[in-house]
Amino acid sequence: MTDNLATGGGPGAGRRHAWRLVMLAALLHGLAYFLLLPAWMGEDEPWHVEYAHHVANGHGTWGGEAMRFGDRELMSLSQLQIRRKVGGLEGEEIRNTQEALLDSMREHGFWARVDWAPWPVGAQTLDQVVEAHTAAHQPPLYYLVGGGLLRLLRIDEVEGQMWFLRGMSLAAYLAVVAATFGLARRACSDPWITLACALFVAWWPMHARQAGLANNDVLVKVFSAWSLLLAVDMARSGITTRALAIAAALCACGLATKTTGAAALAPVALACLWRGGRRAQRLRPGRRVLLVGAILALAAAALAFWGGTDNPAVPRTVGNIRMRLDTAASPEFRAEFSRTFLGAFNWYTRELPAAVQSVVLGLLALAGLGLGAVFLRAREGIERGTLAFCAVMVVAQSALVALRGVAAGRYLMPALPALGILVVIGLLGPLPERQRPRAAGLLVAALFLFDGIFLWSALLWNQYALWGA
Amino acid sequence: MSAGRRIRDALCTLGVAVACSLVPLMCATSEVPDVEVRSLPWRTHGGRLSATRPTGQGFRCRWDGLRRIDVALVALAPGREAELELVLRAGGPQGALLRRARVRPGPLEGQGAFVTFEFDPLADSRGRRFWFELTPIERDQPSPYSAWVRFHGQPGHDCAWGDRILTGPVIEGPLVDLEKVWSQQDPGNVPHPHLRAVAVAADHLDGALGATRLELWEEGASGAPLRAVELGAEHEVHGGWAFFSFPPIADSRWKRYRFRFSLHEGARLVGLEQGLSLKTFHGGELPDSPLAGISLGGVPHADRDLVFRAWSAPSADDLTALIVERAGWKLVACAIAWTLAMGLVLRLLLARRARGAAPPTAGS
Repeated sequence: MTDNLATGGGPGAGRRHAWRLVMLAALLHGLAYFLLLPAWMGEDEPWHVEYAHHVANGHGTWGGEAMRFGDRELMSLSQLQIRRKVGGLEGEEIRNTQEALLDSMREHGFWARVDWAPWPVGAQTLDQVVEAHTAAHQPPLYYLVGGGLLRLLRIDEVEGQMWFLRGMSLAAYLAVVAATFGLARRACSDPWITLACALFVAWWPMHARQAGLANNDVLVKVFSAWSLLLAVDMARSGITTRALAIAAALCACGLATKTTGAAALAPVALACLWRGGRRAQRLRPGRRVLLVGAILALAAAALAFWGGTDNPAVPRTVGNIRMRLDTAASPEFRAEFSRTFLGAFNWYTRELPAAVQSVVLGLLALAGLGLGAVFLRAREGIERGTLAFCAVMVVAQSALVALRGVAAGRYLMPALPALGILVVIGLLGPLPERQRPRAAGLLVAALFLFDGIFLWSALLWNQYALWGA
Repeated sequence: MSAGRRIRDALCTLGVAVACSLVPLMCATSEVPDVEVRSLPWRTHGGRLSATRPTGQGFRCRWDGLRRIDVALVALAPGREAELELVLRAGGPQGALLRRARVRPGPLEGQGAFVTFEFDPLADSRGRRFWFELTPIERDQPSPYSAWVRFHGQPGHDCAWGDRILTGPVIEGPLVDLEKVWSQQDPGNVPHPHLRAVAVAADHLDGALGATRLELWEEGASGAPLRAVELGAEHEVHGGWAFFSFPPIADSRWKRYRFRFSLHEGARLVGLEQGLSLKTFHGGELPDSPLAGISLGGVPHADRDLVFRAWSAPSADDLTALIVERAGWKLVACAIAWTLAMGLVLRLLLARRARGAAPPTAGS
């Protein structure tokens, strides 16, 4: 390979140079979204900031006060839910936080931008924006990290806290682009494809938009992306204790951030089965018993979580699972899911023009066909094993979205690196190697154009021009 | 890198940035309404439009060239179609007549849709107040169409249109209980502070035929009502929501109230098995709004608006000024960061293509 031409140094130096350029470009691109997305325009942002705010004030994500009969005479539902989760919270502190959030939302035109937000004047609780909504049911890691940093940096005002959490999101976005770069190199030795994969993830508009909003989705995708990378490495090079421990830690962190992190368990488990099966057979009986015990303990922990969680994302009965799957199979669900994955604004109340959505969906369908061809017949430089891991990740993530029963495109974002690699290889992989540079250039140009349409003809207008009176 | 190459790369970046930003930007500029009431879902409509007491709406234009008004309507008498006329006046309901536009809205399925009234553009509409009224052309009976109304407040208790008729002369009940609002732990009280209106589903309610009155007491209280509202003679509600608006009750949250409606002969209210179809609204008025509220038979009611949008003809400068006013320096910083990001990627791609080589991303 001629990658030393870039800097005149060795191959590693050339790769690092390209990596640095791509990361710098991604930083600037994420920064553009960070700057342009107005305050509180990330979905559920006020509730995530509320939770992190209480943690920053020294409260734990445990030890809350259970809800009792009659409590609804004292507080609204969103207030009772945050009191139930966060320890030591007094009613006045909860009320003051929500009023500070509402004041900031009023100052930044939240009600003019979000079409279902009913009326700004006189709202005193977040239930007057969305009834009974909360982030208190979410796993605690995002709030512990975000709230801990806010406490360390002594950022007290809710608006400043939101901007800091958004800064964390920008870093998380870069971490996902970096993981994609690494994963793409493992999936394909063609540098044009590698580059296009990283750019796809960096320039996918709804992902770049996540660089500018505060919620726990932005953190879980980091853990998912890097655990997928480790799973691929374990499958390629064998399982080491260190790699397994890091992968397990990443999966645990993902699960401690959001339930959508569970999909990352699938590629890690697949890698363990693929590489670990024979090794397990060679273990001494005592260690084998230990291994079986550990797996059973994990299964028991998962069952205990399933039985004990109050997270509405987790279906609790078989009937509920069936109902959610039926919902996910409906055309309305698919339409809403694709709309919010391709481009939706102002808390999903507005979307990209239908023609743009159709063209992008058409290209994704074309990539699906190309991917089928790549799986059927080997292509030079493409590792189908790694692609299989990416496919497992995407399928697992999609299954979680279906089980969640809520059609929001952001729930697929933890699998975006895997999806991006599949799409790019689906489009470029079937081509002869000499045609790939031109095709990669065209793909990047198409990404730029999609991003331009998203940012300048949709996001800008919906956020700054089309205001409700 | 040679100076020529640098210039070529810079021009290429600029070209791509222009193509990917300005072209989409230009394509978007024709679709910004001058004034728009965005309110989802559409919750309340005012009942079938009346020829004798027409429904109107006031607003202030931001730009020149007012040329079109869309009003959200629902068809309440399926199978019947009729023509509507929009009359545009300067200033208020009694202002000088400026334009007329007639439309036959058609069947309007389901929740209805925006119906468009177009007229010759008003060249000097910038900053001026206007008032429009909707009048059915057939004057012998109420129109089959009803206009959607957005009341100025957060909905608290939000009951759907019921399936049974309740007649007067007096209808009393609790606000809001409805068997503890059909849930296990709901206390069945008023959920928010600043209670400022109660809307009730009504039919054949006509201010000219007699008074319709709402009285509210706090639960357990007796004597003079806490609030008493009588609808004026301008009200005529056929199959719509009647709004009883009063000075806000600041401490209404988690309280229970008792209501009494006194109806004139023939007036009917709509409800469910559990009680009347009622909605409560909470909050206060927005300062500096371009909206002036609705009018009923020429009498203004500033606490609610029709769901509508007005279109004028903003120039590119107008739109740029609007966005710059709202986005400020962030817009410029965003554009710079976005262009530089593309420039870096293009630099990487162009450098590799110029050498006929692959980009340096492959592993060794």
